[in-house]
Amino acid sequence: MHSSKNGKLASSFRDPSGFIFHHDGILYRQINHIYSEHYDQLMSSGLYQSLIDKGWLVSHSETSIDLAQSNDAYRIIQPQIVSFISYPYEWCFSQHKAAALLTLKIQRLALQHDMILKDASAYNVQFVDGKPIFIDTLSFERYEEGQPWIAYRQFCQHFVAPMALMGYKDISFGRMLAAHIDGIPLDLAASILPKRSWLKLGLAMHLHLHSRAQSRHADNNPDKPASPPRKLKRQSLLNIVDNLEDTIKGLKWRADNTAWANYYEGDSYDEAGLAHKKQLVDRFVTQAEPQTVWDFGANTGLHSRICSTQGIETIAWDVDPGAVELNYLEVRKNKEKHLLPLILDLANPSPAIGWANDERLSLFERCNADLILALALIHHLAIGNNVPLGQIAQFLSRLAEWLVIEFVPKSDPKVRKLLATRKDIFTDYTQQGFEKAFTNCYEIIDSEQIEDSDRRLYLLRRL
Amino acid sequence: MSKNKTFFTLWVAVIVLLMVSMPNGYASAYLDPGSGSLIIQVVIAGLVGIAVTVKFFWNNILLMLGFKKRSNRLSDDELVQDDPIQDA
Repeated sequence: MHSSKNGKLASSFRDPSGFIFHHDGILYRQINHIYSEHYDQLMSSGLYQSLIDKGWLVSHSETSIDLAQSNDAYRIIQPQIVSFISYPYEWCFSQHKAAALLTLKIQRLALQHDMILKDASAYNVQFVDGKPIFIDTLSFERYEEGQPWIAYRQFCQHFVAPMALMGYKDISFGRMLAAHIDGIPLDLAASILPKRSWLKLGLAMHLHLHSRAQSRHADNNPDKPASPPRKLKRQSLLNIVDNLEDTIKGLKWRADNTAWANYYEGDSYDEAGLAHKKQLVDRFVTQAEPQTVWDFGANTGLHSRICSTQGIETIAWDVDPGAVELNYLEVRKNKEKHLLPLILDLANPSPAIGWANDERLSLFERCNADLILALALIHHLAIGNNVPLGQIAQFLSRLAEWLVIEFVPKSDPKVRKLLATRKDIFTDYTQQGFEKAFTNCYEIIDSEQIEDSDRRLYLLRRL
Repeated sequence: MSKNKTFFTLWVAVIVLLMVSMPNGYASAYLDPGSGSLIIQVVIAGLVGIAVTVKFFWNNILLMLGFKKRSNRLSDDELVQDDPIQDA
């Protein structure tokens, strides 16, 4: 885990204003004296209350200073808990858009309260009940008329550049954020984007010209500024925020035609089979009584919703950014709670990245699931990706105590398709082989054949 | 020439001018203090100021003439909050 039961979080080192720590399993944030005037203004200007009323910032309560971890503590606060921390390289296009728009709305509100965002990192935004929420209470500082926006570059690197690349070139550029922890460098984005992106007013300014200005001024002699720093009026800053908002809204990506978005069980099950499968999933989940569920290969979240509609915190993981996009839009459209769609390639899960490999955690380090749903998935891992059944069992049993898994035999049309152009080297891939491999890690609690199908659903519990 | 076309031509002219005045180059990015990102904000503020004024009048004209209608699709603001009217 990223921190022991007590102690400072490894990722919380960049900002001298304060840090996050655990004490007796509870999450706190220490605010240092250096940040005191900014914190006081956040609280007294009405900005904090306004942000809370709108649901844009995690709430917090001030607690005993006795919990201070060092001498420079000014306040200790206990922030609202976010059940799962996701990362931008796991977000679909509209989640990026939501996080970017939230950041800009907060910046506008802050400027109206004589404050400004000193950070515009995408990692400061998380998703709770489908909506983006800002989690860094210490990102606000006092605004002085005339100052530019210090986090402008960060906003462009974290939001404008990756979203432009996703919208103009390929949606998979979102994954590039795992390689660039402080956002996509603007010169890199500018070199990849097509020439026509210059015709988009916002991209021409915030990305292309911005990138050129960076390279033009990067070698400025600090002792001899090229020109005296010019003041930027508050209204000009607000205009830039408005324009960034238009730019972000103008970036589009349509998910309708991706490979998997239409894949669903539709052609694997008839109506009765699908209804029976849903009923079995419901029964098995009820038996296990999980508080959190991770649905791997969730597609657009048909089975995830069996859990989330019961109030179980559910993450719907899928490798296809299109399926995740459609799922997320559905969540927002219906104002659904307890469901978080995210992108994940199970064959190459999110790694630990950043300083000392400790800043952003791997999938394993963040796992909080009580139950894994692995429906119509095993053939993709075992046959599509050559992972032996025993290793799949070990992998899943590391993640959660309970597993609801569907075995898809070789007679199934989907497996036949996977094997159509290759030699069948999967001699163990049988129902017996599956049960043998999985009972090394799990006990079979229940299992049942799905109606009108060769597939079988299992409820397993870790040994 | 329509107003739209005039605006577009002017915009292209401005961009080309800026492209020429700010050629692409290599810099010591590993030592970059980010001054370019601060300086460019003044330039962008100027450009955006003009764009805001033009857009304000243009949108009003389109709304008045009935060329612009509210969409039934999920709006981008609804990604952030349930009720966009509460927006700041």
